[in-house]
Amino acid sequence: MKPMDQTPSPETDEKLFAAWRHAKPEQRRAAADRLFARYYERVGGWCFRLTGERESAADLAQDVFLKAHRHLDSFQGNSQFGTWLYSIARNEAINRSKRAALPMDDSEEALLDVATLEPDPEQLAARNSRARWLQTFLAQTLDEKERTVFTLHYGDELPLDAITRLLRLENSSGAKAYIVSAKRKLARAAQRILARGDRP
Amino acid sequence: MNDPRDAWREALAATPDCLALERLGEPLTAAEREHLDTCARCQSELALFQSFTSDEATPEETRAGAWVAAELHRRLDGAANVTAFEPRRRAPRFAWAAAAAAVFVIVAGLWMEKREPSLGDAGVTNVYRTGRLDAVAPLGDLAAAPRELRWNAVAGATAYTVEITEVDRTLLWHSETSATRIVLPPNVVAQCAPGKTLLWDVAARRGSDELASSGVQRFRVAVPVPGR
Repeated sequence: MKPMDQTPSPETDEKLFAAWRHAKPEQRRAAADRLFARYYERVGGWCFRLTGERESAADLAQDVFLKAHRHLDSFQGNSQFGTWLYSIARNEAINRSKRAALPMDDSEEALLDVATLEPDPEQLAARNSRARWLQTFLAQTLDEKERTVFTLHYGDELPLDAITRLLRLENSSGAKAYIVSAKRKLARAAQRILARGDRP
Repeated sequence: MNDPRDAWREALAATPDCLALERLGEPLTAAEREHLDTCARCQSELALFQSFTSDEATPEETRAGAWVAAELHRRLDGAANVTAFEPRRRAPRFAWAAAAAAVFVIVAGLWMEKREPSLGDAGVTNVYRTGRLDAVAPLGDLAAAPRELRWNAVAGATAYTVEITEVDRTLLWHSETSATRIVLPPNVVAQCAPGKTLLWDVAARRGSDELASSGVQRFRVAVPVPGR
């Protein structure tokens, strides 16, 4: 992953991480700063797409890098450094979204209908759990984009405007259109099941 | 069922078959690809990851990214205390060095006695906010669960907002006061279990303006040692 760096540099993440690992204690801080600073713009830009606002993006990015600083010694080199940093940013962003999640509204009745459907006992046993039954139902009912938006919104509780910006959805109502479409499809499929006794 | 989203959250959570996040940036095996084709969780994780790795950016995003980067340099670079990951210095090998270290420990101990001890990675405080607000207590390891939070006054502040979170930043409690201390409700005190680290911070406000913040503080009720 190419960091969005301000100036071209022959340094690589691997070299900078190795330099940090082998640095004298009094030089480690500066070595870590050199490594992380390569990602300030990338993480900052991503946080801006998530929050839609500069100050909030800076606060989120700050928490990401503080956490990364604290846990840098846990990076084992099993993935690219940028991927490791992304995992911290992703977790921090989703934790924040979950803390700010809004209560259910009336438009989510369709979700209740589906979530409370009773699959027949044999299918439930074959799929181990209601969760897996719902996964299959989702896969058979929604297209890939709807599933992705649905998962980010209802699985990770990301706000719709954030999903619109992150996925670069260019339709006029962004992620909301996919959620509306997904709910409609899920409701129809749930009604079919209730009416005919079908199972996904 | 009170909230159908609970069922969906469970259904949409990662399973043991799902790709680990660190695999997202690597070439996938055939089995991983096959799983990805049918798993909504992994498809959404990949989409989110690609939103991070993509170099595509609108002019507004580019400007915002540069602004945030400058802000991060201002807030983080050279901050004196984000060094919790640094290894401890090696123990002195010679008697004179041990004696010097002992003197240092005594002096440091006397100085630290005036403050409450801090946890190993509590050093992220007061280094990245513009205003300074000194948290007084609780800090570090405690003998018993705290009953209140205390901090020093900030000139011009009309209110202080406080927040207690788990270490993963899950909010446990928040409140507001015009005083420089606030009593914790019993249900919050009850959550201060021995060995469990909690975070708190306080911000000084005047109207909607934040004048200063303490940054994240940590405390933990010490685990009782048997026989002592």
